Amino acid sequence: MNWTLLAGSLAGVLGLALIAKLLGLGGAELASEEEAMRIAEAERPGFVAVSAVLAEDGQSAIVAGENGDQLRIRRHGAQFVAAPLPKGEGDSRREPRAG
Amino acid sequence: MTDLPNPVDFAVPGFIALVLVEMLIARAKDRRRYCPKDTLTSLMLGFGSSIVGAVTLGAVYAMAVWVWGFRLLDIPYAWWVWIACFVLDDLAYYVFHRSAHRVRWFWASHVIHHSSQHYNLSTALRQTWTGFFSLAFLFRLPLFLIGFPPAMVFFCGGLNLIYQFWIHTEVIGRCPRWFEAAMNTPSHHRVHHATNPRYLDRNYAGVFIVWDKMFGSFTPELDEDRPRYGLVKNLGRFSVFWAAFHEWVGIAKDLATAPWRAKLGYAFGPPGWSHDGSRDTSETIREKWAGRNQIPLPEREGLGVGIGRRPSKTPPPHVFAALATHPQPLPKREGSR
Repeated sequence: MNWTLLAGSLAGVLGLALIAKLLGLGGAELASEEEAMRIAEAERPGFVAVSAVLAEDGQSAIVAGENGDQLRIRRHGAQFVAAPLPKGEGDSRREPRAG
Repeated sequence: MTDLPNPVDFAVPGFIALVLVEMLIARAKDRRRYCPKDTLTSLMLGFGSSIVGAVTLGAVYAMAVWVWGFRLLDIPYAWWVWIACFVLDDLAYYVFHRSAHRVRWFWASHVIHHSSQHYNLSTALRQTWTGFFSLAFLFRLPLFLIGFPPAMVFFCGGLNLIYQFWIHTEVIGRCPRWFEAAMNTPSHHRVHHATNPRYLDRNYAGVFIVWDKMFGSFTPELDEDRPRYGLVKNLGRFSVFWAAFHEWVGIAKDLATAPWRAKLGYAFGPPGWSHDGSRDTSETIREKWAGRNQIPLPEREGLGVGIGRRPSKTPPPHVFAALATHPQPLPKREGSR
């Protein structure tokens, strides 16, 4: 194992991550309910979105599907991920977070 | 036996420089192309992979030399042999890569490379930690059995890896037509990394895209259907170890709980396979998508996917050519309906 190369690679790894941060890369915000629904459908094959409610800060959303199921969309780095909400949980969250 | 250097060692400074250039372009054009945490995860996975690779190299090389001892031909270090070796190594890569997407055991190792939702040069460095454990090196053994010297094969493999670095970018749109026709390009490889149903499990090529065209796994990138990257079920966290091992954990859990008759399927069936049909494979995802978007019947039948629980044959090329002529992006909608 080439220890010099290894140390250089690790320095490169940490240096590049630091530079990415210093350059202000990343960040994301949901622009609209439509975007939240598109993300929900893309993240969950077969999910058909019918409505969405955005959080005020644009960092998350709850999307309702045609079968009554709901997905929570949340920011993950500079992208978004979806996770199913247990039945009934979305309703209690919806009102205060509606944007 | 001839000793050759690892060409990847010499390419590392170039990798770092090009990632830096791409970051600067991202800052100028679209800051969402990079995310510091995602970049750190990708690069740490690459760093870990290089350590694991160095540790296991001896065993892999010893096995290569052992198999080479049974070689069918005595192949010299001639210029034309280098070309033949590079081309055949790329064919072996195609077979490996296709298996890495169609057999869960190999996918568990390869999934690391697809676990980022970004597609940039740092993604190229997101490499496996468990390649040796998954026995991925078996795919190169035929080259040694033919008679290609192990040092030559590994050198060509290094060149192949270096070539594949630059195609992990959104900065380059399309290359000249002649180049797109024969070579793997950023456009072709964006398709490979995409989770859009149309693009799932397509374009396995390493250097020469002609393998995909020959074996019916080629799909062109469409401007109407921009690739979305990552996994069908994204990880949702920036954990290096979870990215490296999550699918192995999944296999272990399934093997522990599945009925005896189904255990092999969970290890060696296609990713997403389940004995009760409760999960989605690439085929079932594509079939549902085709149904929702009213892809014409002949093309849907030609997809030949998602029927029953068994892995199906790869659709013939004309099916995907037909799909390409019926782009069905998600329709624009109001906030609710």
